[in-house]
Amino acid sequence: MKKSVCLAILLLPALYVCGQQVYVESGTVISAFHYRNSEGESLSNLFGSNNFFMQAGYHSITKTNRLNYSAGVSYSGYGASGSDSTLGNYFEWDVRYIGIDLGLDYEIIKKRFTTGALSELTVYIKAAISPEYMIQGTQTINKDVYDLAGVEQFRYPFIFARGGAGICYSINRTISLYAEYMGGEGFPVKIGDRDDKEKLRIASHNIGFGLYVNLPGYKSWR
Amino acid sequence: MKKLFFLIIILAATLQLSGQSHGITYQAVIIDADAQEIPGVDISGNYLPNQALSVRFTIQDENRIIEYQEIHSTTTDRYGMISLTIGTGTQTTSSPVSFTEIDWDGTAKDLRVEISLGDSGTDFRELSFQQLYFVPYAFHRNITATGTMIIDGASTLNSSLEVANGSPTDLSGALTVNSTSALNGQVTINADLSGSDDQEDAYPLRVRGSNQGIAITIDGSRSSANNYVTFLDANGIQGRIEGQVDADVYNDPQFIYDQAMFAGKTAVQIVNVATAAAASILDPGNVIIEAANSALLAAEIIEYEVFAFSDLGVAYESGSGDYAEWLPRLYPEEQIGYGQVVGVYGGRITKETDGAEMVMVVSRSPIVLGNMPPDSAGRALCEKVGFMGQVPVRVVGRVNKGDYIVSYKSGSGLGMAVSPSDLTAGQLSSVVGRAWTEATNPGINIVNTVIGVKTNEWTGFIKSNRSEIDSLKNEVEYLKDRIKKTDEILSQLVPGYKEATGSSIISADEKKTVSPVKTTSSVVTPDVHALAQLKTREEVLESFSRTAAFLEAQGVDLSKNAFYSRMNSDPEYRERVVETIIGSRNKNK
Repeated sequence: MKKSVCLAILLLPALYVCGQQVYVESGTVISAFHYRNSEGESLSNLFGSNNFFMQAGYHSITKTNRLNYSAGVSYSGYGASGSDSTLGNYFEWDVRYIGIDLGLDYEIIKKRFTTGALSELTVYIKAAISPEYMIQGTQTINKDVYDLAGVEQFRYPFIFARGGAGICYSINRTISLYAEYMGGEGFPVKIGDRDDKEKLRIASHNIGFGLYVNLPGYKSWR
Repeated sequence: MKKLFFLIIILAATLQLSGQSHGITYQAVIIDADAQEIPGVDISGNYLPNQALSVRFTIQDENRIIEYQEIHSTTTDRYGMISLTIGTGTQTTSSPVSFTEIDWDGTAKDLRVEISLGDSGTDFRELSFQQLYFVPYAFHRNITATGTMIIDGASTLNSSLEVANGSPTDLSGALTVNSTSALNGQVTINADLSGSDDQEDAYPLRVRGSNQGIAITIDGSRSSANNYVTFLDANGIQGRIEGQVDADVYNDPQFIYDQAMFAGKTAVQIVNVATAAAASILDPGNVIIEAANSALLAAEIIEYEVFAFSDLGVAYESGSGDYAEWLPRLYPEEQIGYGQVVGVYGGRITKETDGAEMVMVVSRSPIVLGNMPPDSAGRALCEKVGFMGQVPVRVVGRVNKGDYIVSYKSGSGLGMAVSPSDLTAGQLSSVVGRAWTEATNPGINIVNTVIGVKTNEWTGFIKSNRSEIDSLKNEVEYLKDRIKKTDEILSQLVPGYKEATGSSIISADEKKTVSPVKTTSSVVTPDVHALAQLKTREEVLESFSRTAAFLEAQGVDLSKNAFYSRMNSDPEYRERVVETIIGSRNKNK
């Protein structure tokens, strides 16, 4: 957490200097739980689930021209379901996380169209790191529903590391549309709970659509 | 799974009533006390499937003393369930008795259940400890039910049954006892039955299955105060069969009278012996005679007492007083009631008494009733006719005790009283009995009459006849003696008499043994001794004539008598006899 905060502080001056866009993105996140109990045993019959996510933030281009930075906040839902045929148990999770999303993308293809007034197509790759904290969650065991607030594995934050690619199309001087895939895993940060031998990682596959809005002073042609 | 702690969440104890499976069914689900770890909230309360384990059952009494203990080795099923039967496991050495010998005496008993995981069966951990509130297995012995026990199904007791504390036993259904039974208390058979007396099903008590009937044994020895059987009805005791003992004999008036008579005889005999002893000098033979008399009296007393105290048994007592038999009516439609005098014709009765073989009376309530008709139809044609005992008889006119009751009039069914002095020979055949009660009513009375026993109506006639016979015997003896003496005299007086008559002269010795024969003064016979006193020829001939007439009256055929035959046929001989007799008198003179 401390590292993430420090990194954000270091990047802010650059964003401030070069920040020219804000973005809003929403889409589907396909999540799965990777779990091992205190004996190191995994659940054999555990499946992922689809949820909704959305995020918004600033997006800027660094002086290296093709390398862009972004920072924003995210709201993501994760979940999983499974069963134990031996004991006859059914279990399901549905959790909501809010996080700070810090990303770095590199434009690998950037093409300007001449037919339009101002059209540009960009393909990029992206890496992001996102500390997230659960704000709401429930667990269903058989027919009983439990609140996961404060429950082990969910009471401490997760650091998600994701990587992916996207395509962006500028439809005019102000707005660009983009589609993006980001996949990765979240690792728990067991602050004050190191005796917990259980291990839970959340795998997520985010498929989203968003738009960039150019702020005044945006230098579109570099 | 490293530290498992088990809970028993289901315990089912049911009764196994099968004769092939002895024990208490025990079912349980083994729950894993460790929760299943999953992300977030772990899952607790999971059962433990397919787990090998050992279960140890211990039944303890209220003082925590082990009464029975056994171990089962088993495996949970896929649902964590075990199904065991307490009583079929391996009995441990800590168990003092087998399961079937547990004393279910109604006191509190506890069931302790312990489990050891795995196959070792050594590390037992207590799972439950609970009290057994109900008798779990009624099949076994020594079960004490402190409350009401209701068994809805058929029950079999393979051993004895005891109902203690004087508690009653009420059976609403039939009771069948297939073996010897002892009832040590009073037994009352209160059967609500109906039916006629010829229907066996109408009798509350039926004794079957043996060629013997009922044997009754009373405590101690028999006594008139101890009844073997007592017969009662709504009015109380109507009869009884009771014992007879020596005390009853001592209290018998006849015995007391006889004893008094023997005492008198003994006193007289003592006086006789004393007198004879005092006069023994004058008559020593009398002492011997009196001693013999004393011995005879003693023997008589002994014999009497042996007789009096022999054959004591039981006596049947009843208010009724006669023995009777069913006899059919000669005319079935004839109405005959009790107390009526009837004539008997070939075993059939009618109120017509003239010419009857015997005259009897119809009994009212005999103590013994014989000749029972085979059925009620036959009974309707019969009457109970008294044969012996006391019977009430319908009698016309006044009656004195001791009067003879004879048939009053043929067809009337009534009797009448005749005093013993007025009883005629013609009434003898119609005597019913003798009155034991008197009646002053000139009309019809019910008179208690004794029948069938010696009523002495023939006694007077027999006495009279006996007297006449004795008198005639004496006369015959006297005449025989006189004839002998006459023969002697005639043999001496009449020449050739002895040869003619062939009579034998009594020897001198025989004369000594002939006792003098007393004659009555009223008998007039030819006195042979008086022959010598005859004075005239006519007197002698008259004497012979009277003697001949008497002999003929006695059945003597004089024509075959040589003497009388010659006296009748030979006048010369007759005259010579007369002269000889007269001459003899003169000679004696």
